[in-house]
Amino acid sequence: MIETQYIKKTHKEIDHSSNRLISDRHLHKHPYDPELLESIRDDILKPRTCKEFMDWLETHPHYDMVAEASSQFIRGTHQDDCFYQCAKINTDWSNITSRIQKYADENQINEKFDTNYTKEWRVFPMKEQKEFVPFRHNTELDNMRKHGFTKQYQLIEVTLTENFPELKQIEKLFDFEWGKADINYQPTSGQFPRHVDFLTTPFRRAIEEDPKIANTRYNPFTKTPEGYQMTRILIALEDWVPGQMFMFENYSWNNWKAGDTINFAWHSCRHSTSNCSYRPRPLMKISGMVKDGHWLTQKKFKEFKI
Amino acid sequence: MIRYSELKNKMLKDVASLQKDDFYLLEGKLIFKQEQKSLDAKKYLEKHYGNVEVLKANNHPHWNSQYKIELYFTGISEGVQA
Amino acid sequence: MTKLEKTMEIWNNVETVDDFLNFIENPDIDYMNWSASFADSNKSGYWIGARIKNIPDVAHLLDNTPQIKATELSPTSMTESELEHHKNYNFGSGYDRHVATQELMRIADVLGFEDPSAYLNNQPTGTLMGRHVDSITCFLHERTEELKGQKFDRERRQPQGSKDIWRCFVALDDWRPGQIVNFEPNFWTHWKKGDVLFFDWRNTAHSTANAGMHNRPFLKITGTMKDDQFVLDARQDQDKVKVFNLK
Repeated sequence: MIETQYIKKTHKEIDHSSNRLISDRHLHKHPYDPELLESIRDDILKPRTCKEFMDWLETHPHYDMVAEASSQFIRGTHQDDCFYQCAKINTDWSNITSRIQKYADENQINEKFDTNYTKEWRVFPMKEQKEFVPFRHNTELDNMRKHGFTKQYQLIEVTLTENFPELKQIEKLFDFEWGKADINYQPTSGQFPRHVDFLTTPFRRAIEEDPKIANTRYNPFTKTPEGYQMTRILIALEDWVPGQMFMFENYSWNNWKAGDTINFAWHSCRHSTSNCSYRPRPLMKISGMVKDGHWLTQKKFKEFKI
Repeated sequence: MIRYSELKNKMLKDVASLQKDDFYLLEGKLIFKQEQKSLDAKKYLEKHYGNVEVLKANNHPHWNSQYKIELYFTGISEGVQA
Repeated sequence: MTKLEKTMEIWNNVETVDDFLNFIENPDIDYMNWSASFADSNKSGYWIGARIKNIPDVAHLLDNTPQIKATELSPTSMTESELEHHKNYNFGSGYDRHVATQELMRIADVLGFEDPSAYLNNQPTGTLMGRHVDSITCFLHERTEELKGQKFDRERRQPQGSKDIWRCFVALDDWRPGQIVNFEPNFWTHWKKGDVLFFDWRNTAHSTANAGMHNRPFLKITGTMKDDQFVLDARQDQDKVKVFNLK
């Protein structure tokens, strides 16, 4: 196993230093070798508890390939199996977005836009935020930066601060366990490459804080503890403008209105965002777990008014 | 949605000529080492799931094996599973 | 009067090609909003106008130092007003511009272009091109002496009396996942090497992004054509796409 200078940490530890890797020679070339992807995929499918899976994932020698290997997506899958509108939220969006814009201006989010992970790449004022770091393996960010993705998006904290009480209220509508909400604010010219999610941030919190979840069997298809569905929803905070691209495989989510909420097959569906417009693009992203049987697992639609 | 691993298990069970190492998944497409096996697979997939597109595979020096053909669906209905 | 209103006033007084070039190079105009005003969803869109067989491999060319880098802004390819706008919104040029080799220029010959402007535009991974409507200014600048005295057709936004100027993109490699080409309202994907995309450059807002892991090389060709009937036929019927062979 090639040393990656990765230091195992809990979700509460600040990742000060080990962001830079010794070298990038362990990063695999694209397109990935299908045979190697298959062997990793076969390994993903072996029975494990959630804790065992996280331990396996964190120290995997081909970590940069694991997310891609975990996708079960086959081209030609119907759009509605990739993403669908699960909710509509009616509220005073202009009040919320003007507060977000004020926050963005005060913190120079549009100007300081190289998402260099040696610094905390969230915008935060609170102590609690500083101690809560997303699980980002070095190889993932290194691979992205190596391919030119240096200006991605900015994350503005919602769950752990009191800056956006209306958005916290919206978060509660969905009744997530281990829920975490952020504003995903993509300045103009920002781009996040095509990738498959693991939702390790809420997953890891749950494992470390709840031994029952830690010892629950891991479902490698849904990437969730059995009995639950890890879920990620996206809420448009402003109307779409042309040039804002959100791609799910070959499908495009566009023409959204503020309050439109989508649920998507994050476990398998590759997605990317590109902001070719001249307007920043704020969305709220909420990730967490819901139990089997929750309305979000049934492809239902709900409308809310706040 | 159709999951690749479940689909593959079905294909290996139902198509006599296919072996585990004959094909894999790459960027959403099934990639085959031998053309004849891809034709056998195509026939099976079109019978059970829907239209299948065929592409000539691009190979790369950093790969362990050589491949001939890629297959993918052109329009599966919503909710279809393997 | 707003900046755009002032811009439109100056635009409405453009009579010659020289007037037009002076207009677009005027740092005080609102170039982006002026050009965006031509986006028309009733006319916007693209079609595959031709296919070309036996296009040479270009991978080795992409490693050469480009004439203009994707991450930079250059007055060669942008007007002053455009440059300021792109700088303000953090955009670069959007693609590496390389000089087209003789071999690649043969593609333009084979398609029937007359004295075209052609460049190898590669969009490296991680880069993107801000939304815009074209003005074929590079083509006009490259022929200033020849064209400057000619009357300017404000309807077609090109020299008056000349044949229609076309712009097309020739795919120099197969499409790879993550490569996004949006000629509003549609996305061009799954192209094969040799596919030739034509679009209504006068009225189609477009943007491109490379959110994947592979270079995206196109040959961009601009000019009049000896006979553009095959382009018009393909626009009407995508089953009538003409195939050309470079060999």
